[in-house]
Amino acid sequence: MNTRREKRPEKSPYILAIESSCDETSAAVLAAGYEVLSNIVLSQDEIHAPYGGVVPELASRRHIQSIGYVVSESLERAGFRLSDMDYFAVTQGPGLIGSLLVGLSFAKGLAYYFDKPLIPADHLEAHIHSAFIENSEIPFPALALLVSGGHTSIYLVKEKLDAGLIARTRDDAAGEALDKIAKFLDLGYPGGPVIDEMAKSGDRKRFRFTLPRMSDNSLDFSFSGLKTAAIKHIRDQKISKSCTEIYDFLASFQDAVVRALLMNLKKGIDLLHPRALILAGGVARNQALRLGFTELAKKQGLDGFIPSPEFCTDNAAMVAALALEKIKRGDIPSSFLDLNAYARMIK
Amino acid sequence: MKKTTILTHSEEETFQIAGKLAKNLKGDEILLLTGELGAGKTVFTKGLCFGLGLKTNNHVCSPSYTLVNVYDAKFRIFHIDLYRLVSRADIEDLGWEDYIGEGIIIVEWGEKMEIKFDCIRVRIEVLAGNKRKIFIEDPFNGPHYKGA
Repeated sequence: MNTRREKRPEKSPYILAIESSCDETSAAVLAAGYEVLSNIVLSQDEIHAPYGGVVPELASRRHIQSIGYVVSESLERAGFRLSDMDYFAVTQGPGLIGSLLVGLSFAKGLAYYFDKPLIPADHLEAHIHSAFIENSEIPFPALALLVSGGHTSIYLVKEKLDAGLIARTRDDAAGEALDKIAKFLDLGYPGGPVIDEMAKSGDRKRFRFTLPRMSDNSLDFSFSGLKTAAIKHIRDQKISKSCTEIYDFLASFQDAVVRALLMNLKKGIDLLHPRALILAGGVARNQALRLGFTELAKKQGLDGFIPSPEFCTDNAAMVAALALEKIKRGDIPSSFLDLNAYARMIK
Repeated sequence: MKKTTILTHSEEETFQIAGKLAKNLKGDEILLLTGELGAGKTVFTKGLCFGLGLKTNNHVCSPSYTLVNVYDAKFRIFHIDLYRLVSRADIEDLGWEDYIGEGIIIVEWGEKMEIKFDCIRVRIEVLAGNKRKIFIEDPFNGPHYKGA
């Protein structure tokens, strides 16, 4: 058990943030200078491993069960109490409304009781902002590649709170394609990390995959074709998890996904001439992608920034970091009780 | 109950069939899509959204992870994906019933949903190459969906 710490004025503001937009319930305590005092993530990955990629008991109900524990644990690890917090922050969207409302209602209750401001955060903006936790001085403009189970996008980051969407996926997300192929081959859950590990001992040139190209020259991504091509390879060549080709197959498939991601990022560099590159999101934990991204940045003579794995996955530290920047700029809602969650909306 | 079977030879044709089906929708229907991984359920949904006048139809993407995507077209469209869900409790937890009457509900892996209402069922069967056999069951007796 950690001992109680004293608040230090130079470390203010102290922020407690909550994130519950998808599968993970997370709470973090952050102090000035992006100092992460705790970042607790209750991931459903471990709980769901035996179910082969399927979430047996999902979302809102699980968030309700775990949020109290996760928040207490984040305070305990940080050595502070709720009454020490200067601000509360929470993910407002996009995500599943039921899940978001658990975090949002909980945070509203805390802010109301302790009479402190509540800062709402956008989940995707927070992912991009995660890069600043360990590197607050990233040169602008930066091009950010955001890759997760549900998202695959490129943003042009002009400054810390100004990210414009440049490209997104037109069908599946990169992480989804990896997970679905892993599940199709019965490799266990979470599929992405399993493929990442098995691909290390495979020959990535053994199986050929044609990379998707957009007919309209856009930087948008498409992974549905790669997924379908992979299923065809598996069927035609009778690939299974017990056959000897499995490692080569996974290495080749993962390589195709990584190349497809970096190909469009490279196009974005040629088009927009950024001064730095950012890789963020849950799939930014993938080692083949981290390596490829670092090589691309080096070749282009740009600084490449990738957060530590704990800040790549859905986590509350990135929400707190984004809130800290908003506080610095005075972007604080005067009334928070009417804040509402928002879904993933495409107009 | 109107039953239709259509053979398509490419993704584009599947997209177009869905677009035609969309023209007959009144705005509060539930569509359950079934078919194996890679069958083209998301392509079919894109076609439906195109037919419903969604201009950013390119941005319709798989909600396997996000579970629900919402689009604003001629009607509001709720694009749901049950791929990751198993139990009835999970599906109830989605709160999808709140969307009934609010717009068109499209459900991928719709066979997982136990549903008491009339709904349009679309099953996509994978044949050789890019060929697909699409079975449409429409309890609303809508106009004809003519195949290509």
